[in-house]
Amino acid sequence: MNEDFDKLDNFMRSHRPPEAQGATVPRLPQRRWVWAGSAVAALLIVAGMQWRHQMATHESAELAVQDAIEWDEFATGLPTEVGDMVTLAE
Amino acid sequence: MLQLKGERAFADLYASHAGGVRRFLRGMVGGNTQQAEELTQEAFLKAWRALPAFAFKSTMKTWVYAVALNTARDWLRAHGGRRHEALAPTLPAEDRTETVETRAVREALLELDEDTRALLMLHYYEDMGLAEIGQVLKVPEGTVKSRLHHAKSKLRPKLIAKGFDV
Repeated sequence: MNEDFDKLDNFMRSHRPPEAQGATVPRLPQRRWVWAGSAVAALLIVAGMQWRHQMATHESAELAVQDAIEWDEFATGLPTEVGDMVTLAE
Repeated sequence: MLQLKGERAFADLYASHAGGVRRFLRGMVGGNTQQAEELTQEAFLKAWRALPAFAFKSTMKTWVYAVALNTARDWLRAHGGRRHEALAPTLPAEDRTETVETRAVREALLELDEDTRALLMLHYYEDMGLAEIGQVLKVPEGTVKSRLHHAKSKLRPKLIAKGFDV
């Protein structure tokens, strides 16, 4: 077995067909997906928190408007002068 | 608890070797990516089922490659007529870094029988040493050495015939 295969070895290793290429250890792509997934999850959580804050703010605004309307309705029937108030009390 | 440990071991096995197995199977079927993916899934399914019987006579890496090789052999034999001509590569566009040389390497490998092709791919493209290849092929290291020599002797004239000085 004295045949020298150095040239053949170099040729084969230098001209790897595309289907024989690719990551030797797939851990890095998987980690990339883990980080990407975590980032997406974090964004969703933040977006959810912002949405809830907006909803709470909106609800507060709605309640404030409702309160204002109710107060207006209430206040419409109220006397506007002190004297009127006294008369009303009597 | 044992089942959970087995699942974790399998997950580690898959994470560590699915890429290499997929690459190896793509080479065995001439670059057909879809077929290689199906064979990879089939190989790991077989490995999962056989995991409880794994006797640690080899590393898990060589064991899963042995399962993959048997899976490829079964498929190639079932499609005995579909050899060189029909095993056309179906590479994604971005992977088509084909050169005259790489095409010649693929064609030369496909002209060889599957055992010789597997041996050369494990040696050249999976960077396995003689001992590891021996575990995959279930033969002694000395047998791997002589088979490898013989395989290269069969490969060389095919590349010379294609015009390469090797």
